[in-house]
Amino acid sequence: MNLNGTVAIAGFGDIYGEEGRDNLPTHLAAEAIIAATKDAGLTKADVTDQALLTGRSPFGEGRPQQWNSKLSSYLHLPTRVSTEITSHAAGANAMLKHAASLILSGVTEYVICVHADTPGLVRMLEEAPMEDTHVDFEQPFGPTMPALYAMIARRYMYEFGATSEQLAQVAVHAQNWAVHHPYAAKASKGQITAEDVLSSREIASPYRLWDCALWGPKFGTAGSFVVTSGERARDLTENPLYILGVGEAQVSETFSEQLESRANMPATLTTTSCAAAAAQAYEMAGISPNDVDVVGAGVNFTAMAPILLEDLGFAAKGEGLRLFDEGRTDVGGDLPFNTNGGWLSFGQAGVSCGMDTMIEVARQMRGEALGLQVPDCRLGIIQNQGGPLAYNTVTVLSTQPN
Amino acid sequence: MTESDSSETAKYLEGLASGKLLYQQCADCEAVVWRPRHLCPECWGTSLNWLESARTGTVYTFTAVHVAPTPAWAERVPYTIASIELGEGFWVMVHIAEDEVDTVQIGDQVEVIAGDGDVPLVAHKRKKSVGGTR
Repeated sequence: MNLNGTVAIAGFGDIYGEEGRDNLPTHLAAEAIIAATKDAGLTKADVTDQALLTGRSPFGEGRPQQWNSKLSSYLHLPTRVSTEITSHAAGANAMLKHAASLILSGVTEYVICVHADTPGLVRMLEEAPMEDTHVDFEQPFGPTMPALYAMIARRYMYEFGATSEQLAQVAVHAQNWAVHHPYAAKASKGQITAEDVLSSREIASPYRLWDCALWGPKFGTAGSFVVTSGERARDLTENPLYILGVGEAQVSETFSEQLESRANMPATLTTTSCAAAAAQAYEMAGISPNDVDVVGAGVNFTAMAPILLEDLGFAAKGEGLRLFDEGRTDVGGDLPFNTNGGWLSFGQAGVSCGMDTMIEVARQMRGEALGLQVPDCRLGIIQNQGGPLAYNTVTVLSTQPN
Repeated sequence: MTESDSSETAKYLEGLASGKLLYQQCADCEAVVWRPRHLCPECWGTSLNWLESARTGTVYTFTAVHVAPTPAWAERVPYTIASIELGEGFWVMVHIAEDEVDTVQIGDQVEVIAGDGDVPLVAHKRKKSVGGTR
């Protein structure tokens, strides 16, 4: 199906927590919804009795589910559709697809998508990764999330001859972008060199501290989008962002389940379901990777950058690090990638980290970047991953309806 | 021993207790099934046979963990986790034997044994076979 400009983002809002105020995810999200509604030129009445979608309930809310109901009630915003889109934490991005479905089927005229989280409010954050590992076949070996991703990196290096020096360039590029962003968690650390990465403390070999994302910004972030029909979006705003293509794919849940023999699917750690999600999204949008002006993807550890860029079609499998060697993903390069520093340098603001990626791409496309602005971003790609490698979502946004 | 999430996992753990690595194969489609299940995830059949693995395979990938997930694990760092591709066609998570963590490489031929402590599976290198013996 070609969406052909029938669904668009009419407005968005992003809110950043600050020292000295309550930074509850509900508070940040409520403000983001209000900002997005205003940005779309709408009022509370317009978005009342419509749809409210949230991502997975925030870690910082201490609440396992039904955060959507809490938000709806907190804002006195009755809805006719309200639910969490979890998608194993890739749901921030998947929300746009569900929003498109609601708009195209005529269930509602507007869909509010929102996500937020606050790392500074999360208790036991360091043990959170144990939730995503298997109780009998993984946990008895003491894995951490960095350790699981380190095994993916080690396999990538083995299969394609990649080096730690090359992976370090991924962290260097991330930081080159992040130093210009006012909310990036690592911005204050300044620019770094590959040597800084290679001499940082060991976390799980081959990964060192700078190879890993951090939980941040600690005071939290929130983002919200108002999705409506393309026609209505054109009436509301001069700069709608059209949702041209969406793709979504899940194969496994845990790391070990990625390595299960399946019919027609070889067990691998170096190609992910992002490839299938990207293929769906590109086909729907009728575009190829060559057309893309800006990319946001969930790179929580350095080797995920080449793996995801390859799965997204920007390089042949095993050749993604060339994009970094050649400076193409760096500031000034022709493939602007994670222009807020991404999860590596902007940080993972809890379970809502995919939303920060979405906001960054949307801001670039509207010419309203908070950090470095990339000129002429007309076509953008957003990828979210719910890990480890479990679930992938890809969205194609465009300033043009087709 | 660890908490188990199903009776199939319990059977695997019972096998380990006697030094055996048990896995399943579907009687209908012959798919090797791992982790243990109550049905075949490939053909959705319900006839699964239990088999005993020869416990030999190769190192598929590994990592030395320096920052541990819990205080209990922090006392043991660094420890090396690996994924082993077994000859029967399934992968298991293991620890690399402590005296081999500095030399382990992807592709190493290993034998997987039941751990004698609280780590269920440990892999160590297979001794090079001398000429003439298989």
